[in-house]
Amino acid sequence: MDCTGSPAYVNLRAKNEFTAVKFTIRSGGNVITGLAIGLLIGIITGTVFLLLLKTANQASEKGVSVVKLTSQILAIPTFWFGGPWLTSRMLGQVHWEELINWYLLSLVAVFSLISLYPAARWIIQLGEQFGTKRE
Amino acid sequence: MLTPITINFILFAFGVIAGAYLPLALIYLVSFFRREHFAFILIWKAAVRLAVIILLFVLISGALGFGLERLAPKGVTDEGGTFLALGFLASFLVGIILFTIGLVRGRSRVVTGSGA
Repeated sequence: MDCTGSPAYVNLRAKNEFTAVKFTIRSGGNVITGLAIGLLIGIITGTVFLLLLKTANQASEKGVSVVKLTSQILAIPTFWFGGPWLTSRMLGQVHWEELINWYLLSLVAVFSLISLYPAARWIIQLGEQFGTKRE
Repeated sequence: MLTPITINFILFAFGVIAGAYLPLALIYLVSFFRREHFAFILIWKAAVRLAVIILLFVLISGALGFGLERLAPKGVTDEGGTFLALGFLASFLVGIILFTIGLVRGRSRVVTGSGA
């Protein structure tokens, strides 16, 4: 009989002369871990997205390449699902199948909220520009 | 692997972001036309911007579809599609309301400026 896993996910495997038995004990740690990592990554990538949007808005004035900015924005999903934090030593014991749902829920919620704020401001600003030029 | 709740939530959020940013990008393109005089360079610049907008949207949609195909073995159901459409419509309507607010503010600013 062997026992592997982490405090959040314990995997027990026992074998007798008849059958191999496998137990998996799960605890609420997965929920907390998934939510916390999703929150953290959501805040980081959301802030990066805001900074890239700000740079993109000033791109024409400062002569920054749009292609370069686009490639930087497209690098955000790579960070979500395969960044160096994912394969690090600390998260090596984490079973992603168990917490992917909670991770994605909190990540999507936080990132959406952060990225919708500049969109709302941008829409109002465009409306003001259109309204000012109309007269 | 992913539960239906997670898939529906992701699709709803994607709908919300697409409903907010896609019309915004198109309005941004139109405002570009208003600022400058008509010329071949203007058409070229607008075409490049339009191509970037479409490319980004297709890439993001493709990445979402590919990710969901891998993470959700059962695929996206009709319910998921409904959440996507709901998010898009809600966000689009809120966008129109915000744009109208901005338009009214801009016009009132002009009226105040000319009246003073």
